[in-house]
Amino acid sequence: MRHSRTYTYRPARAAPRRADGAVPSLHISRMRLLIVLVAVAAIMLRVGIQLVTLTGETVELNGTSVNLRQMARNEVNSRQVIEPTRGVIRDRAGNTLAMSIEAPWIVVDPTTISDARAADLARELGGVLGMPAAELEALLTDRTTRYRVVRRWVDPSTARAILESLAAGELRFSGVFVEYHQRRIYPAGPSGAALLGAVNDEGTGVAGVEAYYDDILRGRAGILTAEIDARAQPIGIGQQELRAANDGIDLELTIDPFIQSLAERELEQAIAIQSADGGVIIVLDVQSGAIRAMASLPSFDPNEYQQYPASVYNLNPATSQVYEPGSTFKAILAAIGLQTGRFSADTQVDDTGEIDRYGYRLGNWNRMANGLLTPGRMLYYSSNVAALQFAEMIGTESFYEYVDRFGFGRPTGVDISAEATGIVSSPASAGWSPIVLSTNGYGQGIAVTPLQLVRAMATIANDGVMMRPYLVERRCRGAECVSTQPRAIKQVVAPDVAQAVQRMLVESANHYAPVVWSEITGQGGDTWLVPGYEVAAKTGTSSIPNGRGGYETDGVIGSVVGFAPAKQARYAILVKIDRPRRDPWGVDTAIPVFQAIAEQLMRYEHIPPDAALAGPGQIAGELVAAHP
Amino acid sequence: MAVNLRRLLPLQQMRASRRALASYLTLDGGRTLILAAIAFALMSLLTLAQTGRSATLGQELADLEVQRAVLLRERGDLSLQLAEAQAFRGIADRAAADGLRPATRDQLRYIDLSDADPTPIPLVTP
Repeated sequence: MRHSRTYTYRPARAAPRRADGAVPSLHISRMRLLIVLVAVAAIMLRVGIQLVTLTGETVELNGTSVNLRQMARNEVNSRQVIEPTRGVIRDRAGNTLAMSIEAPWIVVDPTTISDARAADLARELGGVLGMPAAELEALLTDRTTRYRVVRRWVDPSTARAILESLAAGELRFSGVFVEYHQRRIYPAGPSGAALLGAVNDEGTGVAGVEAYYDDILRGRAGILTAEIDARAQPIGIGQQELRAANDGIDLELTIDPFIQSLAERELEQAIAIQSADGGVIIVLDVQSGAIRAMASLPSFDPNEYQQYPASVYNLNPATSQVYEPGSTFKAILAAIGLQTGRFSADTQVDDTGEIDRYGYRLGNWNRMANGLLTPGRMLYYSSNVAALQFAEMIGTESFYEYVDRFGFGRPTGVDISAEATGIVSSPASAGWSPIVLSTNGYGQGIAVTPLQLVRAMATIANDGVMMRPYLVERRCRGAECVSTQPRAIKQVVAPDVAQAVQRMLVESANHYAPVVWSEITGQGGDTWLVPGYEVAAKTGTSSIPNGRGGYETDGVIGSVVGFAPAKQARYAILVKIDRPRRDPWGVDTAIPVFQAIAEQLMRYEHIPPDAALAGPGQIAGELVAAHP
Repeated sequence: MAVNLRRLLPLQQMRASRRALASYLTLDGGRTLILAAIAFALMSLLTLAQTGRSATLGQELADLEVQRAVLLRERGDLSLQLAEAQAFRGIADRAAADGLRPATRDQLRYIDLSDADPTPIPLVTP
């Protein structure tokens, strides 16, 4: 028999109806209430314990152990690195040579793009980016990764169009992302590339000033630790910890845009005419040591430096490559001899055109004898035979002592990375023999950097005081700037010695002036290299070592190093042309370049010409009185 | 309907009111709970309002940060355009294209101002 139950509500204890007829208040047993409360508390405690246990558990997810609490925290908490902006590099006129901007990358997540959509997206995106649709479709359907860079450094307007489309909720670019990364830009392109260097994709300077000053240019990254929302933006009311980024320091170089442009233009023309392998031009401020121009070829575009061989962008030919200075070194020889007192300006040696030393026959470039020569005439005729005799008069110890004092064989300390020291043999060196001294006298068997040589010449121009060459004029953080103070290193030779050599070099320069002027004036004799000014210069034709103990037979380096004006000089100039094809001595190529630069510099500095310093057929520039 | 009217003297009335006041002011358990609930609700409302306001400000701040990033990018792009336009080689090339060229030697005149009258010449005459 099946029993049925009937439930009826019956108060536990019937409340007696009051005599006045009022409804009695509901009375709940205290015990029942307590039981209910305890039950609820127990359930809540159990739920709480379960939650705590769960968040502390480690579970297997996609084959890796994950702590749930840590996972939840990672979802909400974010540690963002705030990249500092790399410092700007400017020339001394304030023109920007290197700067960093945030440039867009286009990135896709192929796992969010179906095969059906890939073709349409490839067509759409390819049209915007200018990429073949087939190539793009292959990228979009390769689902081996969730992050694929489609194109780096796209045009900002293209990135904006994609972003606007995504913000508007349009599906045509769904799965496509725009990321911004810092990019180093060199607005002037290859101009000054060798001295500026470049920055790699990791933001590290790889050459030139960029590498030398990398620590202060790059700045210090900041860190933001915060709770983030679904858009990965920090939540304002959440906990935040911010260590602000420290942007890099801006550099103002000593480079003068006019002089740099002038040097680059002249070098390009000379190399193009001669089909030469390359060359270097350096213009140094004699009185401060500031480098006003440093042009070199072959060059590269630092915006795309990876497309060039490392030997091109890693080495600055002006500071990292050495060569034998040839006859330009005779000016140093003359200064050493006069300073040591081993000979005077009137001392003569016999130039026989050729001379035998230690089993070798050494001679002048044309093997022609010039007779008795003073140091001044030695420079004038560029006599090797006289130079080696003067070197021998100086003696090994004094010669190398002063070669060292002039800074050869050691870095100049210029603020560019990878500076070479040069090669100077001395009696202490392995394989040294007395003939090395003889050949060193006329600049062979010794290797220098172009910067070392022009600094030595600037020392003579600066009455014997050697200045430290430098490239950074000021370092600025915002409006606060620290200027580089020119630093005199030492008095290498006495002022009277330097001035004597200055006079000799003016005659030497004028001796080569017909290379420029003979066609204009119709006269082949000595004249003023730059009409209106005394300019000092020494030419050189250097043989190139072949690496087998001898010299190449089919190429030379033609060079000129000097300064202008000769008295109270402003600029020291070095011109070096590597392997000119149509000029067997290189000098006919280098002299016109030197002359053009010296003349332009005198105008640029508003130095008035002296009308007396003009030969027949030359125009020095007219000087008119302010109040006739 | 019968009305029981009893006239009280003013002094007696005041005494009666005073006695009744204590019973009005005395809170029993239920009233206390209600008051506490109301106070709690008000405080929650206040907190909610403050939190909401902070969240709104935080959101605005985040939006401003995004705008700042966009503006900084635009500034970078404009600075780049300026730098490219100011590059010396570019200016020289444009000048050459316009037919400008450096002065030749015979075109140069140098004026010696060393003996000139140092009195400045007024640029604008009345």
